[in-house]
Amino acid sequence: MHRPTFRQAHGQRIFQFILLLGMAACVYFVAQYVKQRLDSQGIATGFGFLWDRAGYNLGESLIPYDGDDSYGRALLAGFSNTLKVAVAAIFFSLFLGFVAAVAMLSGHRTAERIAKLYVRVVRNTPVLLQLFFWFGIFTVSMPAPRETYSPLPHLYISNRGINFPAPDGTAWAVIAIVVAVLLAAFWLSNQRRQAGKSGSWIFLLSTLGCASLMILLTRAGVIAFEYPAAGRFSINGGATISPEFLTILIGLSVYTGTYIAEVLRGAVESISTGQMEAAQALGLSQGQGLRLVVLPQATRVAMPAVVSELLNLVKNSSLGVAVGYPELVSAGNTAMNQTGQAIELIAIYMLFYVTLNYVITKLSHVLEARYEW
Amino acid sequence: MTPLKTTLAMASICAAGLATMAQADLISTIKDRGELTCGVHPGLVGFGAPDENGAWQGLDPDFCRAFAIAILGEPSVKFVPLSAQARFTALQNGEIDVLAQNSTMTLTRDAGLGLNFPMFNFYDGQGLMIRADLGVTDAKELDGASVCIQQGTTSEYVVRNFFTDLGITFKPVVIESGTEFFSAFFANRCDVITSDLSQLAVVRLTSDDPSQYVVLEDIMAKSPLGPVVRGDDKDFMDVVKWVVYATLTAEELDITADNVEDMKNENNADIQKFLGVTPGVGEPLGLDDDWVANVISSLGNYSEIFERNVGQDSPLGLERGQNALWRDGGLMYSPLF
Repeated sequence: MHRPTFRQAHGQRIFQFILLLGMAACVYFVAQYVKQRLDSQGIATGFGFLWDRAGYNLGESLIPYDGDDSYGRALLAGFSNTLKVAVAAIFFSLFLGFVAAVAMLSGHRTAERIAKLYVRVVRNTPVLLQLFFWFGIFTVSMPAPRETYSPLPHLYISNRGINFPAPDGTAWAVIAIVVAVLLAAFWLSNQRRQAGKSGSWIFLLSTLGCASLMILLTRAGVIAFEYPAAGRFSINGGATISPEFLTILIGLSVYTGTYIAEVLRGAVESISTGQMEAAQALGLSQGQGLRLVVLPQATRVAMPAVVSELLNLVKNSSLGVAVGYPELVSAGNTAMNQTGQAIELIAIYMLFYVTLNYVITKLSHVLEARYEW
Repeated sequence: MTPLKTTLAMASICAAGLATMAQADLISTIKDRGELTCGVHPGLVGFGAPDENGAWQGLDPDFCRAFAIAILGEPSVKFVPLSAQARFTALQNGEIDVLAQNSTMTLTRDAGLGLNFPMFNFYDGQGLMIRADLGVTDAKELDGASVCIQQGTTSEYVVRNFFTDLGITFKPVVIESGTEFFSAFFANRCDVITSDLSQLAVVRLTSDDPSQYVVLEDIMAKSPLGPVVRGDDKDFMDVVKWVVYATLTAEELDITADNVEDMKNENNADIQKFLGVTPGVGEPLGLDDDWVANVISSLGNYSEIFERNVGQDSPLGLERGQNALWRDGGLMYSPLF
């Protein structure tokens, strides 16, 4: 590509400015026209409703929300649920995709066949259908609340979800400290290992220390848990993972996992066998060759495709509306039904999804930069 | 792309966005098309569901046919099954001419959506259905229960107010798809399902074992149902309104599908005008004078439509109750023809 001369650049800039102005004018005229049409049909417009009382409850939400709060708050609560399921599903689908890709590349016949079957079946059926399937599993096939299955003390599994003891405030603080200590220990042991000294014992020791501290504090009653208990209708108290959340989490992870598996497999296979041969000729073992030569190149190839699958996953979370998971679209559709302001709400959906996916894209660029050379 | 091409492409997009939809009046459009498009429930036995031959049966489809007969002289209707969430949008954007899908009239829907509820053809109430083995007889005992609610209805709002007023809590499970909504309840995902009482009766009856479920006596909210039209065509709205009134008036005058021809010879000026023997009922609506006679002879009066679809002659066996004529103690009251 040749660099444009000053004159050309100048001309382009003027043209771009005119183009931008034209587009802005176009958007403005269309908006004006839509507004005029809606007014003539007597359909309410504007974003004022966001501050009105919503009057409906959501099944669950990450941020506190009650029906007395505003529509705006209801949408934020719905978005918090979208974030929750999106983040969890991203991790699960990457994990599943990675495992399936390794199985397909392993050369182990059975593992390869199972992984291929998984990819073929799941990738070739519509995701909504799969969500209905999982919804059936988690609501119809699970035991009813009165016949709750309890594999561990205080852990209940039924078609009302999974109930388990919830840590109280102090317990959360202790958990936060423990996580921080473990992360620090991990970092420290890594540093030492890179310096050629033995470091694993630091991590092991702090894990043991933290575990015994947790047990000690629980025994002493310093930290407590809220235990679930059978109520009149279902298990009450403790923390709950709802069947709707499980449906959308498992459904999307399993579905997106197949795409990620194929992308990863393709990426590794795209690296020419010569690379591995060269690595081995230099005296690297098979594992080292894979880790130091093939994988860094494959990651670079796979990254953009994987990210675009993850963006799809985030958008697909809007299917939660079909299976009763109160994510953004579900919360918004109720608002749409009550206020009738469809255009405004769809604009808000777009804004939320574009922002979320923009952030993910930016994060992925940071990661991609690490694989540039 | 050259700058010229880009500009032209942009201009065409702009023009497409601005293109106005030419809107003729709806009655002539329907006459030209030879068919009325009507939005109905995708599957609610008695109120709108296809039978084994794929023909739409129910109270609402019958009223769709009545509107078509009044305008076209024959029941040419294209039925469009619509979910609760999609129905009003489909009407707003002109996909259907009229919506007859168990729709409750509310202030927002009537005044804020650019729509109009010309009149009611079924008075309903929102209730609760629960599994019999839970032993609940009063809604006050439902503290902490999970409630299955269908999205796109007035239920979400009503349920919250009802439970809050009673000072008890509930866990909503809001589902858009009609099938998943029912199956979630039958799978015991929720303890309670809420909807209009007539709909609960249908759901209970179509379940594997109706004796396992009871509909509580509490009525959470009134639910007046009726056909819905767009607000920008008053002539069509009048037709919809007066077709429903005609079925009620026919019941009042004891005119049925069987005796309509005989009644034409009755020496009664009101009946003769009503059935189009003497002119008067067609002209103000822009219809032929025999439109009432046509509607009644093929579909019957309100009582016949009711009993055939949801009343004593149907599996549902609903009582007339509030839907009886005013003279029988109900709410159905037609103005004068």
